[in-house]
Amino acid sequence: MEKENGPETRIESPRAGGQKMKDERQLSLPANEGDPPLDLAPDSPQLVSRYLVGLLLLGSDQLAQGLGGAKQPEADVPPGEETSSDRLRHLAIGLLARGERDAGRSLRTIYHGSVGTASWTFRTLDRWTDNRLMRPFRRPIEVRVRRLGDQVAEIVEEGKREEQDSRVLAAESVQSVVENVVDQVAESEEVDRLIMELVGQKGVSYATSLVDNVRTLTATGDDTLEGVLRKLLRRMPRRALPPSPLEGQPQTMYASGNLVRGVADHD
Amino acid sequence: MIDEEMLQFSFLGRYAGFITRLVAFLVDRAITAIMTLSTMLAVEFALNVFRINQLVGFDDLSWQVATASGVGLYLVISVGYDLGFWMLSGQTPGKRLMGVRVVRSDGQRLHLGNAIRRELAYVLSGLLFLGYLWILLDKRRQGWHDKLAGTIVVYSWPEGELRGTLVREQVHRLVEARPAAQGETVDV
Repeated sequence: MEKENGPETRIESPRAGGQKMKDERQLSLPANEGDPPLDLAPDSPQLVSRYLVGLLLLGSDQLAQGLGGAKQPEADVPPGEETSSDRLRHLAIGLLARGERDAGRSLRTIYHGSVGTASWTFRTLDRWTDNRLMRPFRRPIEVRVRRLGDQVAEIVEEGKREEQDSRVLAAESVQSVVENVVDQVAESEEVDRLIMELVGQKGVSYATSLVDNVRTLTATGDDTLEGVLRKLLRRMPRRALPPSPLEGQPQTMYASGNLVRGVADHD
Repeated sequence: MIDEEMLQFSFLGRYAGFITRLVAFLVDRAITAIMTLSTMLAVEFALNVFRINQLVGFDDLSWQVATASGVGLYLVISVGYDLGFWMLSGQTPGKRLMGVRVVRSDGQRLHLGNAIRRELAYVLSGLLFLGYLWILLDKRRQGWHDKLAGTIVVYSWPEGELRGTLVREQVHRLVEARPAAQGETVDV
């Protein structure tokens, strides 16, 4: 809202360590001086929630426009000032953003604290137990810890392989299904025949025949209905219609030559 | 082969009856209704997109005014549609589908005067549908609007050769029902 009239600036997505993103994603957005840069990096923790909030706002704006036209200003608020509903909405969005950021910060603090505590504990234990007296007790623990580390490394490697295998498998499956469908359509005589009937000469002749049949039915229905009505009205049945001036004649009165001649006659 | 003798048994040029003309009429009215609806939606969309309705105060229009505008637009489109197609080919799309054509009573193409009189006389024929039902009783199958405009409606098919199974059967039946003395050969 406030950014609409601000100077246009180029904002680069920040990256850890000051490195630019590989795809050099840059956005040209209007922004006010002093605003923090907009973080649009794909690994930004707030990217998804920003998208969701943005979509929600755009959707509600569209809905409000569709239902009630222009937004009615509040009576006691001068134009250009923030209304109470605007303030409430900004408060909700601010709480969401701050809550997410604070939660992320707390999680990072806990993680780093845990890692620091663990490494300090292990270093201290290492110093205290690295002597001739404690070495017999220490060795089985070292073996277990090393084995645990190896197992974790193995699991991580397996996860990497599984991820790659899953992608390859899914891609191959989709490719295989598509190829199968294409092959079946290409080889099936039934499908071929249906397509030919739909788009080929047969389809056209069926449509022509259908129209002709409808015309015949309604034309014969014309005679039948008149006969029934004459019976009901106790009139003599009609033997034949009087000949029309066009009976059996080709109807060329609207051919282009006649049309021009007809217009000239009329004028 | 369809020879000249057989064409006399086809529908070509005969006065078109009530059911065929009713179906053609309904098809035409459906087309004009769709055209009207599409035009109204397009106009409303354009007004909304460019916010012209807010600028000129169309937002405050009551439903009565909106309905009256729709009916007016329908009438304008219907009149233009009928007059245009009658003058161009004697066939609206509905009449073309059903294979009938409007011509003057002497078999010539319609003039603008005939077309306008026919359009105006639709109102008269529409009174209790009596003018349309008159087609069932009239010897030349003319409705009131036809009589006032000096027009007739004739079948315009088959123009080249007969097509379709039922048409062929109909021609067979009619030709075979004729006296054998005429000694015609039929090859349908």
